[in-house]
Amino acid sequence: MSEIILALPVFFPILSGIFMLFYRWGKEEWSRKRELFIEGLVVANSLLIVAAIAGGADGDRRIVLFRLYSALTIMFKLDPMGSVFAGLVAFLWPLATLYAFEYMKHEERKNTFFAFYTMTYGITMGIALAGNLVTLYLFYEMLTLVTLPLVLFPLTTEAVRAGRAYLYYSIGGAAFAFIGLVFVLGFSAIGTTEFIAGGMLDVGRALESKNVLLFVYVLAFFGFGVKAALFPCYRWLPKAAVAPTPVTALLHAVAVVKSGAFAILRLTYFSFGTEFLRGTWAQWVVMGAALVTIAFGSTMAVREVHWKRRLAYSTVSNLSYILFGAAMMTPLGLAAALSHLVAHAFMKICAFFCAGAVMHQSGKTYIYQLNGMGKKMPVTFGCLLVSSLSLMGIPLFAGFVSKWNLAQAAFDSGSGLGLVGVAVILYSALMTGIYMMTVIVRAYFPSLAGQTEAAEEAALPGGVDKDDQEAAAEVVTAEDGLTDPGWKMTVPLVIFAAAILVIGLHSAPLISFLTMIGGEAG
Amino acid sequence: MEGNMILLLPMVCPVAAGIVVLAGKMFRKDRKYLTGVSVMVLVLEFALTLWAVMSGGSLTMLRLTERLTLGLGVDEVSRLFAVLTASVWLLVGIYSVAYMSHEEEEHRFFGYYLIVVGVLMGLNFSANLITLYVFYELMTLTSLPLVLHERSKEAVRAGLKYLFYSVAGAFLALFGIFFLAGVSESLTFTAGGVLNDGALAGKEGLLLISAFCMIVGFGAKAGMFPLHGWLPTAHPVAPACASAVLSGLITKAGVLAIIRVVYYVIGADRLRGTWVQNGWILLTLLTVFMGSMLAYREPVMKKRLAYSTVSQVSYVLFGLSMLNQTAFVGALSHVVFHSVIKHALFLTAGAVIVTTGWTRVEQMRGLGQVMPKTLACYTIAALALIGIPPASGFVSKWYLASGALSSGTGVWSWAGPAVLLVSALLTAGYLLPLTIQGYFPGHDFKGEEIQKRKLAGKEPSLWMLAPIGVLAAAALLFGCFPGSLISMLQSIAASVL
Repeated sequence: MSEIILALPVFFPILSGIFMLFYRWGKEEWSRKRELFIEGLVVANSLLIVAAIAGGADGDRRIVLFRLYSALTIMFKLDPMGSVFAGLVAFLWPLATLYAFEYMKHEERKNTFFAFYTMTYGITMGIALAGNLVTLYLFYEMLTLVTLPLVLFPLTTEAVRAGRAYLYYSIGGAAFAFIGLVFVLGFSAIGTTEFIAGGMLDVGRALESKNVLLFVYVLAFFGFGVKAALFPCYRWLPKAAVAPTPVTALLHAVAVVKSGAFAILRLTYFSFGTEFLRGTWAQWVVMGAALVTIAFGSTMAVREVHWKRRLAYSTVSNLSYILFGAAMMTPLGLAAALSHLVAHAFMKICAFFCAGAVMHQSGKTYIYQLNGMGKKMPVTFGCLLVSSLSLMGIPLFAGFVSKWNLAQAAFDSGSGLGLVGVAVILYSALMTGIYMMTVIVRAYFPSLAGQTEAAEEAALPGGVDKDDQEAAAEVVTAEDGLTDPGWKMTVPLVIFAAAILVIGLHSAPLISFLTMIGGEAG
Repeated sequence: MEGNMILLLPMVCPVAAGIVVLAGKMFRKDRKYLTGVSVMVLVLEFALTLWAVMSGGSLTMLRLTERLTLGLGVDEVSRLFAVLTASVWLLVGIYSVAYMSHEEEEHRFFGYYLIVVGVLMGLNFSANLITLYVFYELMTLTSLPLVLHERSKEAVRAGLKYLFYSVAGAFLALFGIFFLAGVSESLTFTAGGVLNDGALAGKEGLLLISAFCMIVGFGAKAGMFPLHGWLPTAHPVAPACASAVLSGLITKAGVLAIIRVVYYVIGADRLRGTWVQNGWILLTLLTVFMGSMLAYREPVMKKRLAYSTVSQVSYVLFGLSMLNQTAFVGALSHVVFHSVIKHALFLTAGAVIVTTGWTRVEQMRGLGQVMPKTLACYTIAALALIGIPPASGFVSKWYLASGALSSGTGVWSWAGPAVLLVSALLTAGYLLPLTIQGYFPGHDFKGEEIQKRKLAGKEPSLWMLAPIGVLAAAALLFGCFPGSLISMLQSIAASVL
């Protein structure tokens, strides 16, 4: 048990979260005390992860916790790909928590919220550090259960519906993934499901029942794909935008959905192995599904006028960029998938946090309500601009780097569907331009005509209810006093925007590391 | 950062000044500071550009990844575009001092006006395809506020249309860049192309598709059919000085990008005689004809000029698509001449709007009584655009037509000049009525409005008249003394073909 440092970042937050559920905080200044406690705990956990990664991430470090029975072991292992996901989550979580303090300031039941929020951190780490498919599956199921209360949090009818959809979709998906788990175990060359770069399938035996295994792979891909919002199982994600913004931003743009993508990468490159899958009908099926999702998600985003739901559709589309990279089943494809996993995390969390900041300050949730806010909330919309340009894939920003890698990998793979994929990505980039830039233009260059209309509406004499008039007047005064939110919200925003620029301007170290991972596993 | 740092100056200086103007409160309050600083920066910009052009060399700015480098460099083409940009930008800047006093939120206009010229300089000096693409995108984004300036419903719509067409074009081109990056050692511009024959083996079909995508994609900025739709919408809604640079220079950025792709990355030889060349010629001729036709039917002056731009920039693209030296010289000289002429025309339209408020051509009857000098400048520019010798348009069209005739492209070699001829007639048809009705309004013209508003002899101020005069004179003089320009262009043509 010398490598206990691998298990600590998983169990420490889970146990602390359980503790928080039952602990009674003193009434006086309990909020401040708890904030300090939570932030300290999350930062400590992130430091643990950094220490673990700094200690070497070559895949030899492992810890076996217990055996369910002979072949089913719960074990953690730190390899380069796991450390990418773990490092990413460790970077984002403390900042998102900080943001959540400010965002949730006026909410009831904060204790429950933060308890589950913190537990999720541990479980996400469990997925990142899982050493075999069994462990991954276990934490994958737990992730569904522990994040359910967060989706349900507003307790409105809408939220309950969203929670139910989330639960059914995820559990259903996990069932398909379970079939994959059973078959991988059955055909494993090493008798367990431990992840090995390049796959652990006994290829000789697997080839005898090739089509069955390919079918199982497709099932498992779609199963894990539910969390990654793969078409046609994407519906839960836009619905879940009803949750508080820290949840939509961190969980439904990074932790939860990327766990799905991460599980698929594990399944493809570390379990079945690309050698077995490449060039088969299964590859074309999953790649086709990813491409359909990319095009579908960004088209739906253009049609959506609710800001957070629009971003959620954008997430649907962007997650499939990662799956498209995964489905190429080449070393470059894996590197490209990972680079988009990292880049998208920063840009989407930044975009969601901007949407949340606007909601928090003004209560506006629809895009047509954002007229002229750019000047009143300069920091927020400045960060949104960076994030939008990055999502579009303008060079100098992070999104361009990952798109470049995806396209290079697609051309390199030489398959016809890969070329179609490049075209689909560019189509989606154009749609991204439309659905993000309309927001930017509206915020910075509000149409004068629109303003007069609104003023006329507000000043309508008689006919309108007095309440409405008062409400309208209130809105006007609220808008006059509209400012950027407090530092707890702006600091994370600025850091994320800066991270997007840093990756965009100097990505060579990151990309060469990811290419190394691809080289090992592809 | 290694190399000649001077190249950075024409880019950084106006961008920094523009940001200061946008952010500084005093520029919002005091017009004198705003215009004074802006014009001074533009003069400085002109000097810096000359300095950079003379000093030459190259500069590696940044490595995005191992393969993606941002670099600047000076060659003959960038010299031509940089000097043209800096000088015209300065003239229009001087004009804007007077023109913009009639508009609101001037500081925003001047701020972005300065930023865009910096970005354009980056584009002109780009040494490889990635850098070009970066600045191309930045140009779209930074010039957007110029289109949006009026903030009317129409302007916002036009701005978004501009943005989406440009971005669509850029992404179409990006497909080609993705492909070319895989089949070349580096994407640094080299006369004759940089593609690697070994890596290209078996992908010739894909190369042609990529080339076509890039031509059509970058052609969006140049207003080439089928992505021309934004131009007649976006150019007229901007303030006249912004429409002038949008029409005269920013469309040329699309031309520059196509020159770089076809002649400096892919290589003209790889496209000669392929379906790409034929398709490209067809598109340009369609655009030339369609643009002139629409301009002929358009009653609003600025819109008419915008359609004229659609048509005229495709003259340039037609010359490029011939892939021969003479036509190439014609194309590049038309870049210069059209830019000068179109600025003169748009600035005249702006002067008319400011002085009289007239926007439609039929309102401008009797304009000669209001501003005879301005109208004279307009007439010179119009004759140059039609191609009447000895004005400049004649020279470029002569090279275009004789290049086409000797290009050996089959039916195109005579169909091209025929279309150019028809378009020249249409050009006369849509530009000259203003002159004719302006000076000779006819017997029944009483000029009541002119009398009532005391408009007679009301020339625009010297700030506006002088730039128009200089541009009109240039349009004439380039045609009389084209020797040195043409010999420079011939040396470029000889190096790439």
